[in-house]
Amino acid sequence: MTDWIRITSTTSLPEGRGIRIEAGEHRVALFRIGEQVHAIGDRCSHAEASLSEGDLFGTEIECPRHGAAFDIISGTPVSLPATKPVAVYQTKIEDGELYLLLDDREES
Amino acid sequence: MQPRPALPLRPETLVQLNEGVPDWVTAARREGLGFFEKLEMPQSAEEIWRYVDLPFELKDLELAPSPDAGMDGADEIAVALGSTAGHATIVDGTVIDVQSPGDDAVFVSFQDGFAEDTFSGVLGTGVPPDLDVFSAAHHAFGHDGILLLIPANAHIEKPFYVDVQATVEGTVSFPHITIVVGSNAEANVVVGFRSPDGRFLVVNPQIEAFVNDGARLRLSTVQRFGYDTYSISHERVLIGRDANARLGEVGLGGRLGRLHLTLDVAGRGASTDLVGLFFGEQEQTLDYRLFMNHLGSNTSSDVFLKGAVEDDAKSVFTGLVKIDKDISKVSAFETNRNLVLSEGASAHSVPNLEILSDDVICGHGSTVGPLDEEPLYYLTSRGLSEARAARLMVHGFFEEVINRLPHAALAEPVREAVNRKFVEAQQEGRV
Repeated sequence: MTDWIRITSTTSLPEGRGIRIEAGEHRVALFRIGEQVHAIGDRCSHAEASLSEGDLFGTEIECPRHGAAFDIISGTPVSLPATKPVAVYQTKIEDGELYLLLDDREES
Repeated sequence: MQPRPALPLRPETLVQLNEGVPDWVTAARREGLGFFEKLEMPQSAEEIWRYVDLPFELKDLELAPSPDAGMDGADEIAVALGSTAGHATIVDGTVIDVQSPGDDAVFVSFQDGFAEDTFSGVLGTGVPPDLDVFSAAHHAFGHDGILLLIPANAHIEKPFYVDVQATVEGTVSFPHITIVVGSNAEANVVVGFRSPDGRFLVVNPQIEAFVNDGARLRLSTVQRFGYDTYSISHERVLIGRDANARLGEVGLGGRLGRLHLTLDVAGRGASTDLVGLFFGEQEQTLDYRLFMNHLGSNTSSDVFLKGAVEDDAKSVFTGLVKIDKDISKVSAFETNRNLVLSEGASAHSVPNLEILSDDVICGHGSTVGPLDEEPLYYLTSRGLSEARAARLMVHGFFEEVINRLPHAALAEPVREAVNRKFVEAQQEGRV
């Protein structure tokens, strides 16, 4: 399935911190920065922890459990202990509604 | 009702406030006024006010006028609690809204409560008026508040939430909350305090809770006053036979956030635990004065309070556990742990035990210090930057207490507020 899935209105997303959603098998962390929404896999690639609960510094999310950090645009780790990237999901906004493309993950 | 302007704290104001109020209330207010006129402003030379500096004279302030509206903006506590058994808003000491969907409990403002007379002999009996000038002023000029009565055997799962706000610059307000939990009843209450930043405000709240025999109460307060608010609050909880009270105290805001808390573990088999956390920044003073009175046998208490201070902030914890003679089989523990995150910050921790009986198990502990060097070194050796390592440690320090708050729903907003404070302090170079 490659359809875009409507998630929520962008106004319901908090700014500057993450929010976790579950869609099918996917647990996704959403981050709104101004008009942009970035979506990455919510589970830290180092150990079981929810990235949406971490602190956001610019485009860097810090895992609340062990301090690993990821770039929310590329999914790449920027601090140990994580060494592997997290999934990145494509997002688009139409008429103030956020859509996610769920199975088109980039493991970059 | 006519809008009421700001009024001086004087006898003629009381005459105005007492119009249409039952006699037992006016008598209690007059008694409060008597003490208010006699008592002086506290001095930091007094042990119980040590470390506290009050840059105002209470008698020069005006009683806040009746409010037009409350504060704008979302209330994250209300959002986190979701559906409630009752929701009330007190602005500048006046109740502006009460909603209670169920009819199991009485949840009303003073005005409606006075009409039924249910609270005669209860209201105002928790905190004595002669305790200090603030309590006296509260008894005299505290003209409105919330009265909550849970009937015997009623079990109310959802929380009652009271949103207490202060808004009018240069005034003092006296919000009041009375909670009566009937025998074998169960209830839980959350009180949130807030005010805008940058306005000099004095708030003098009182919360009194009567937990009758076999009853259970969970009561959490979250203090998020603005930076120029001076909050001097009194709270007293009386716990009856086989009753239990679980208290949560979160102190985040205010130029001064003072809490004078008395817990009377009175009935045989009564128990209580208090879990609290605070985070002080800039020139904040967070001041906790706890009095734990074991008045009955087979009673137990456990106090667990954690706090951090940074920049020029100051925290004070004095906790006195008192066990009367002829009381046996008591267990009482008191722990206060403090992180001092900047050189200019200070934490004063004085747990005390006054035990007049010999059949007790008691313990107390307190620690004051900076972040531990060893785990910091370990974390940085695992590839974390020092700032990240410090964040993890502060996070972990508070997590222990956040997980034990009596209302699990408060964990998320409290965690977020504490983390945000530390991150801001790091970004502004204060720690």
